[in-house]
Amino acid sequence: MYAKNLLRGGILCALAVMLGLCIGCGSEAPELAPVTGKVTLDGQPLPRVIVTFVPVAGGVSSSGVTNEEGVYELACQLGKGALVGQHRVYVRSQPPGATGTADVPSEDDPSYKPDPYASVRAQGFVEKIPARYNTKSELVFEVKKGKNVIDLTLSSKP
Amino acid sequence: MNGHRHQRAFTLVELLVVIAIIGVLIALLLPAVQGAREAARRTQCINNLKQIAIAIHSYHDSFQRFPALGVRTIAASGREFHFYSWAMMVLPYLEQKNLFDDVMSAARDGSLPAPWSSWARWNRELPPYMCPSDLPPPNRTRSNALLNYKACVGDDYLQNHLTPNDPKVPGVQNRGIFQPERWINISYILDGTSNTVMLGEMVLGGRPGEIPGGVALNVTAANPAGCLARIDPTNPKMLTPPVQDETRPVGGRGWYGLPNFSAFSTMIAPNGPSCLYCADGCEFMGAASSRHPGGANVAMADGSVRFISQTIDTGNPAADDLASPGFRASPWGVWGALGSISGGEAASLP
Repeated sequence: MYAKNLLRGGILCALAVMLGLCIGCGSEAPELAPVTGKVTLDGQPLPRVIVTFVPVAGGVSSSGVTNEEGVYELACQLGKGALVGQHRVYVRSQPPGATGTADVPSEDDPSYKPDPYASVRAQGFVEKIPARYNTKSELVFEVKKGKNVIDLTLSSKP
Repeated sequence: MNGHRHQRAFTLVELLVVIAIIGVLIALLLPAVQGAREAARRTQCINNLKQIAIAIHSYHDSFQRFPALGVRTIAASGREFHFYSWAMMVLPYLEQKNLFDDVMSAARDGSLPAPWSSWARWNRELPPYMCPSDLPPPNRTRSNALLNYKACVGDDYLQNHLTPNDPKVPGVQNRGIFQPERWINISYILDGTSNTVMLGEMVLGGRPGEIPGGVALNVTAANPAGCLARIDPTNPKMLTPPVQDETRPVGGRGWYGLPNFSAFSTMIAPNGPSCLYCADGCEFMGAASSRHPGGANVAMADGSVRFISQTIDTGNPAADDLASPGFRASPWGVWGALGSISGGEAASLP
């Protein structure tokens, strides 16, 4: 009888230990919150511009590109959304050629003879969005827990 | 006589409980066994990286220069894009001298195929160039040699595929150690060899548009934000189209000495998206990547191997490419600073 009680006690203890192990340590993933919004310049929606949220305290940045209605949605390599906290926001337009189908020269083509310098293109590109929204950004927004709607209302006049 | 002895036995419930406990124990143990296997593969992967770093230093001992990212043979010199990669130039230092001699004799008699071509002599998977944690992509009909380890072109995007001496764009100098047809001495690494990335891991490929492994096309922005914006917000493991097709995996043409086949840059954090813009030539913003959880390994210029977390500081991704190189600090945080050879940043790994 004593041996049987000992066995039962042992089983109970083992179960308790295993329960503890299972609960154990959760992973400490950084907290992301979904962010979406509309970008307008002087009231007009800005299509195909790149919106970047850079955490003021450092950490992984999130980016998104606006659709034809000027609406963006952020994502980063850790997942959907942006880190919770203060962000400096940058709005950049893209040089032409960013849309359309895949365009890769095929080395297997016998007539393949590309000019490597044809793609040095950034020099001719002029950013039309004012510098205070990109290179010298003054935009600071806070991403809170839960869903965020952050509309970026830009103005070309200072 | 025996009838007095109590016949002791387990009840069914006790047996079931014991079986359940054993089941739970095995369930706890199995992931640990798998984890130990991945740890062993990772160790071998790191060892390969270290061996290649030592081979590059042996090359430097012989020639007082690091190998160029790509080099054209005399026979191929009239052809713009026939760059043979650094991975070919260091073969003699990885005990692959026979293959190297085959290539050289073919180069001398002018019969060496283009670096992207299929050729029985070099269509192979060389063990030092393969990371056991990664799997070869299933559909690689247009690849010749698999290469899991890439040379670092620094925090450089717009011009990392250009040669330094061309009259059309004179004076182009990459901010990293490697560039097509440029051979630098170790004394050029002013930021310090232990603070400068030389090699890194990159996965061989995956499903089209997968992160990592896929490549987003038509990325015209001159900054990493343009590439990060290609992460699909509805499914952050994938890139938005257009993406490179799977018959030409990113790790599939190791003998081709251009950035989109044998190099990566330190602009996007490890395991992030890789992006390409092709007009006629191709500019490549390739991220280091691996199948190890949480980041990727790199070899520094002093030969040490470090693990870089995928959450490493990358500064301001909306800042433009520095376009002309030189002694300017990288805008892309610690990761960008580790790529540049002479940015003058104080950044180093802890």
